Amino acid sequence: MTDPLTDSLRWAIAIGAEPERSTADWLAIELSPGTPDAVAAICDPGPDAEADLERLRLLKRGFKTLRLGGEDSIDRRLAARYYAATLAAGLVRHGVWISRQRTDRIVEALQGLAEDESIDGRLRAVASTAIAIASERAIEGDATDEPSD
Amino acid sequence: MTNRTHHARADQSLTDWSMVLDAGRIDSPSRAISLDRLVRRYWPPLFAYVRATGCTPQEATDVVQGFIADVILERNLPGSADRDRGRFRGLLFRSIGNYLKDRHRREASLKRRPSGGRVASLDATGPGAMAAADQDTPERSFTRHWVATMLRRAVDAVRSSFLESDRETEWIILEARLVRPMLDGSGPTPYAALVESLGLRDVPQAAAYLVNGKRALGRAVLKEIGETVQSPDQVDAEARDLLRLLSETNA
Repeated sequence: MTDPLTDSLRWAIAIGAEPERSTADWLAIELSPGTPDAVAAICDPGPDAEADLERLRLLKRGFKTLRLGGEDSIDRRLAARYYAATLAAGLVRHGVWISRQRTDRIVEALQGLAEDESIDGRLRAVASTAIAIASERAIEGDATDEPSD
Repeated sequence: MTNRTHHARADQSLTDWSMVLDAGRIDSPSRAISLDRLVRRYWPPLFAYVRATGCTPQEATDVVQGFIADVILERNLPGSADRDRGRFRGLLFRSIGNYLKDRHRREASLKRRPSGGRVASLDATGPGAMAAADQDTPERSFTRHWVATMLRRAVDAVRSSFLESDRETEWIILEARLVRPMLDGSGPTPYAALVESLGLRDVPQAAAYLVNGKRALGRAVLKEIGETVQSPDQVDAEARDLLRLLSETNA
């Protein structure tokens, strides 16, 4: 059994003492409880397709906020890459863009992700797969999202 | 800049550790200020320790004031801090334990006050941290209040920083989702309620703000721990030691 004081200290130490874990990771854990980090939250499909798609939408909106309002430029840059990765995962697993941005803008962001060697290989791979799919056929946009998403 | 202003700013810039060392230097011109800060800062864990030995609040107040007068002031406890491998918590904990043993051995009922006047009795009975006092051992109670004091200071630092930089929304979310539950054990405010009351776009936006706040608070906690040890490489060990002690109290 733990208490709020112990829990608070535990996560405070974890957050402060694990600089390699990004703000994006903590956000993924907040939005998708039980997930170990942002890469797993994006790349590991959930058992239920509808819930998986909704989770990707949540993550995408969270990363969008961090992309604009992250604490520092590293957080913001990483959030932009993860934002693009959620779009890629949406296309690869569900066949749709979870965005109403223009396809050429999305593909441009995915190309940047696929070529960024500082990013986890699983995210780069899903970006490459999404680019290949998008080059073969027209993709349906997400009617549930705002145009700017 | 006046001397007084300069003096006040110099005092605020002191870390806990330099404050301890300064309080131990008999000839330091700022010793009285450092001693006062030291006593205020560490009153709650000392008081909690003594209460957990079975003393009433009034008895505990008397014992802690006696400890301050006899050990911190008269025997100059801070003056021996540099011989304690850099952790003031351990020194303070052992010293109050020894003081109580001596006191019981002597069966003395003398109540002492420091020569400089009455020591301010800070509120050590805040919610949350004191809730388990009745079941705690003295060591457990001391550790809990040590951590609670540290967390409160970290929270204050983050609140000031956020409010000064027009990040009130982020502070409100951090307080509602994390700080208040941490301090009084209440449940976190639901995201949906915060989104509505703050006029946010959606839950992920609120969650992103919370994560920013958590990260700031995590850094502030480590900074607080860093100020109670002699060197930065002791922070990790001290943090894990505190976690271990707290975990043992919950076993």
